[in-house]
Amino acid sequence: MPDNRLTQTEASLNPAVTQMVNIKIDGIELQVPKGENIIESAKRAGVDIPYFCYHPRLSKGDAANCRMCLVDVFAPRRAPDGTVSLAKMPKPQASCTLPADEGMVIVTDSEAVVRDRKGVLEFLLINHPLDCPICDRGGECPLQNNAIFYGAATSRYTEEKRHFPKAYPLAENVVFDRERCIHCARCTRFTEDISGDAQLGFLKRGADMEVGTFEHTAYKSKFSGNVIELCPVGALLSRSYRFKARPWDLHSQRSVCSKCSNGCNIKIDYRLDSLQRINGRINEAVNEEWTCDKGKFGHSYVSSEARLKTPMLKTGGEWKAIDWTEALQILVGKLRDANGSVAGIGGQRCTNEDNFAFQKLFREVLKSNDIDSRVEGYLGSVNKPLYERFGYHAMGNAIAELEDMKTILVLGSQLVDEQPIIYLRVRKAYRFKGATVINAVSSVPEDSPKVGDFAQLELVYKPGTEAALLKGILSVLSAEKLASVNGFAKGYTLEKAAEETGVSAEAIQQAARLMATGKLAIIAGREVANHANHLEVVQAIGDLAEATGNAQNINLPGEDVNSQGAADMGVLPDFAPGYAPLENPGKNTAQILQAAADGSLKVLWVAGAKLLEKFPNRELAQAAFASDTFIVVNELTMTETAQAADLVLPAASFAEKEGTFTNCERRVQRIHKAFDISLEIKPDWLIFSEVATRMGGGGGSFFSARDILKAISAQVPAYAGLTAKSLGDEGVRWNYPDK
Amino acid sequence: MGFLRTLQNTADGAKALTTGARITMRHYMGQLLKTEPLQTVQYPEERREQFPRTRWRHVLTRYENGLEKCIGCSLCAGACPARCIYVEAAENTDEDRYSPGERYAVKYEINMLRCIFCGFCQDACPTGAIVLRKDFELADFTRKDFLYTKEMLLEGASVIPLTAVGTHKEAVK
Amino acid sequence: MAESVTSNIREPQPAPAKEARFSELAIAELEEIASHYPERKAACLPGLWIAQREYDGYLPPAAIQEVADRLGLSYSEVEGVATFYTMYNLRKRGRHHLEVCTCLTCAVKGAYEVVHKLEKELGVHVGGTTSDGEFTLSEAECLDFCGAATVMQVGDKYFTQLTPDNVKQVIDELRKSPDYTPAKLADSIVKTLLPGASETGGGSYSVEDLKNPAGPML
Repeated sequence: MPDNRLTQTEASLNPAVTQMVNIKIDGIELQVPKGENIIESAKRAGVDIPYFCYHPRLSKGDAANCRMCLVDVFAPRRAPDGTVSLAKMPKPQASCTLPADEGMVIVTDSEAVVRDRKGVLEFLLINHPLDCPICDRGGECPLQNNAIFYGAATSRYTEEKRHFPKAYPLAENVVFDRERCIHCARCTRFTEDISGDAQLGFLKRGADMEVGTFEHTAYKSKFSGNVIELCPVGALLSRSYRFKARPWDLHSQRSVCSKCSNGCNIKIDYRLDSLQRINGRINEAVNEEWTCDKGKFGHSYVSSEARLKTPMLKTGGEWKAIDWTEALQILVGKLRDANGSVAGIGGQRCTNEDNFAFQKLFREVLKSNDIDSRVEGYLGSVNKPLYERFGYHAMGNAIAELEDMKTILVLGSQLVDEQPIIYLRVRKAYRFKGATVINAVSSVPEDSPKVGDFAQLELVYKPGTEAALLKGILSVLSAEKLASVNGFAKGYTLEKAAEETGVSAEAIQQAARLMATGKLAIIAGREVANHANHLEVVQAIGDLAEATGNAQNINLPGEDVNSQGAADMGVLPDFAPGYAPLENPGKNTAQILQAAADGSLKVLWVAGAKLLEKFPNRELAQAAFASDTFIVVNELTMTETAQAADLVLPAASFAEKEGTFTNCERRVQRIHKAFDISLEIKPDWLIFSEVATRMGGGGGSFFSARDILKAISAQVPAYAGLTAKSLGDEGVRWNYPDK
Repeated sequence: MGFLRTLQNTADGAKALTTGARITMRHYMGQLLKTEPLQTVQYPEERREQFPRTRWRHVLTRYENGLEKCIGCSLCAGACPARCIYVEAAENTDEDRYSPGERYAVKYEINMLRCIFCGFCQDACPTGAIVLRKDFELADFTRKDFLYTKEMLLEGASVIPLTAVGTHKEAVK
Repeated sequence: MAESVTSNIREPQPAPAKEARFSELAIAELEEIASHYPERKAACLPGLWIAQREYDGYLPPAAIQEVADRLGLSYSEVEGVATFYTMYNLRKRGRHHLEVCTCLTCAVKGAYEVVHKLEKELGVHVGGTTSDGEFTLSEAECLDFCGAATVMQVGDKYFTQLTPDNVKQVIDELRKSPDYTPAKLADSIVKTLLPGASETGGGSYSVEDLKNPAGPML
């Protein structure tokens, strides 16, 4: 039984509100749901109430720490004779925890409220060091703003403020300035409500109160970066951004995180040509406003010194910098000589536009179908695992839909590492929507947060026995008549499954019973994707989903930023863009590498795929790279794969190009160019297009990324009608036409 | 009437001319006979005292103990209407200390071609580090030389780096 | 006030070692208490009392971790609770914990003189424990017995109308008194939380042996 670190919030805190009440805020009459916090109602009315601790996504019951949102309240009072009159509440109320009720009259600008706010700010600033000029938050600091708008000009406090060591290294990426903390509890509530590790808490409550971890241990979380953005003062700061720039030094560009397939909306803040920090951007359908640490702190490579700035040619084992003219000449010469014996691997880390140009170049100019975007995992036909049976390829649910599930089965996945934002949704479903979570994995890591921390049931099976486990569950469903199993569990009994998987029979029974209670979503992870018998496991997942009536709730999200988009764009050996079957399918990644190792392949083009690092059969990959095949790689830096190539072309990172990514839930989202590192660095699509032009054009020459998007929307049915404009800031989720 | 008026105008004109000429002649004779002092300031041998609030070349000042006043807060850059200041900050360590607090400016550049000498940077500075002093001889030979670096701006810097023609200029105090 | 551990630590510390010192009886007691509430979280305070008993009268990090693990709470949350309440000891205490009230009335009646006398008598400063492990001296906030100031609390016992002249006598009496450790106090509090305990508490030890040296006693 895993320890339930944190209890779910009571349903009473998240009531389904149907009743509307009439209230009046500063003379504005409005109708709001009964029980809504007044601070939110005021937002509807456009009335400004200052606050620090309130946050719409954190649990609301335990806010009201900062006392900044005080308002005067008049509530109807019934006299004994039945007459109703308005009576002023004797003291100002904290509007962030005050539920709206019929007939309330709120005053936010009375003399008393103005005076109270001044008093609260004077209190908050008693121990605040006011070192704004050297504080990274200065310029975008809610405390500064509120102090200027609502605070008094002076303070009566002349005694010594409290002092702590500056820049305490709280987490790997977060430094903590205790002096600046105003005890709003946003960070502690974040770790409890959202990330689920509850590592931050209030210690020594009272005059000495401070935020801290248990016994000053390090704060180890996969989402620690969010507390930096949540902190309304400069107490929690990014270690990498510390002292790098002030907000007015920065320019900001909307983008999408390139670290995983969840497609978090982010803002790239940059100065001149260097990326300074990543902040979350609100997209309710994807990341809400959160980012994971991988995404927030993992983009230093964009502006690193190691970036390639010219094409590099290997001659006699030595790398030589050459210019683009020469590089393209060599490449085009090799491609001409190869006479169709060319193959391409990669594209999962490139934009849709790059992928489209990639396959156009190969199919229409080089006349080869030997391209594949997949580097690891299942390499067979993408239609086989799910599409032929259920009509979708990867994710049946949208990320936001996971909130509404009754039960969520996380299968073979370290979800928090593989799909951090899906993890947050699962956690939200558990914490705020009362979902039950079952975690089935082969190994449990020590670190929090993880799904196991809040899962009702954790099934730790022997590696590779996913199918047996699922069949065991099906046999229980069948035996207990919880679902019509259609003979899916044929030949399997509970005991057999328990023995094969090493999971206790009771646990399997419990899991089966939980799964039969209502809407069930299955999220399968890396262990399933890379399973030797991938098809068998997916078959079993499909059986379970079908038996419980959740055939549309299977989710096999890809892992790389555009693994979905690369498949949509037809960087597959057997499908053209839009999954149109090809008459003569080409080779998949393993076959291409085999051909290269055999010496039957002349040119291999690797577009940003980390073949040597990731391909499971490393010997084959090494043999392919060691062969006579001319290998050209588009890369940002000299990775292991690039080192083993013959020609390396400097490619633009996601911050330096326009384009679109398709995330794991099929949401097509735009990225925008923020800056140029060097004019010698080209986006992948431009490299492909220039080669296509030199090879004689065909359909492979494009003028701009937008030009390619036009071609995509014309050619790929699912992307029909998508334009840069229609994608907007939040992207568009495409759906299968028959759904 | 017309004739009389013309005559009157001519007489007035002649009077004005002679009045002016008399002043000129008086000073001319005075200078010639050295009975009155020279009015022209003999720049560059001689310099006029400037007004107290004259704003010219920037200087980054130091505390008495030699530490820099600048903390690299970039408020000057934020206040600058011409966007001519560039600041990059870094963290002081006990071994490598430039300014009293945590933070100091590792790069501080002013593009003097853009600067309009408004003094907003001085206004914005929370530590009184940047001040505009009275040295106004800022002419130079190449555009590059107008990019004043922290080394040039810091109080106590002895020389301004080489100009295009290879001469050194005396630093301003 | 809980003792203030100064936060001038500059680097994160390694995680403290875990221990499981709860006896079977203690686990049974904790489960019994937890079963009274809709949420296990509610048994946090009793859990800490049990831990204080099991861990020799104070709450080392391992005790906090054990309570948190047994109740399914986060470590920092339980530490937040333990550091808030003054009767949870975060460091090892002497056999007798002398808590002298230095709030307004007692201070006016000369509480600080009593404290200084005690410091001199015991040879420790406020917050310290004598080397023989007999006494720990602390200041306390108002003990709600202003009518008999100066008041000193020792375990569940009040000594009243203290003056610098009569504290020596109190100390001598306490020195002679039977074993009276913080763990026993914790045990008596745990007993009051279990079913069958009377309102006034079912202490497992007798405090009758202590003669009142200086005036009325509660």
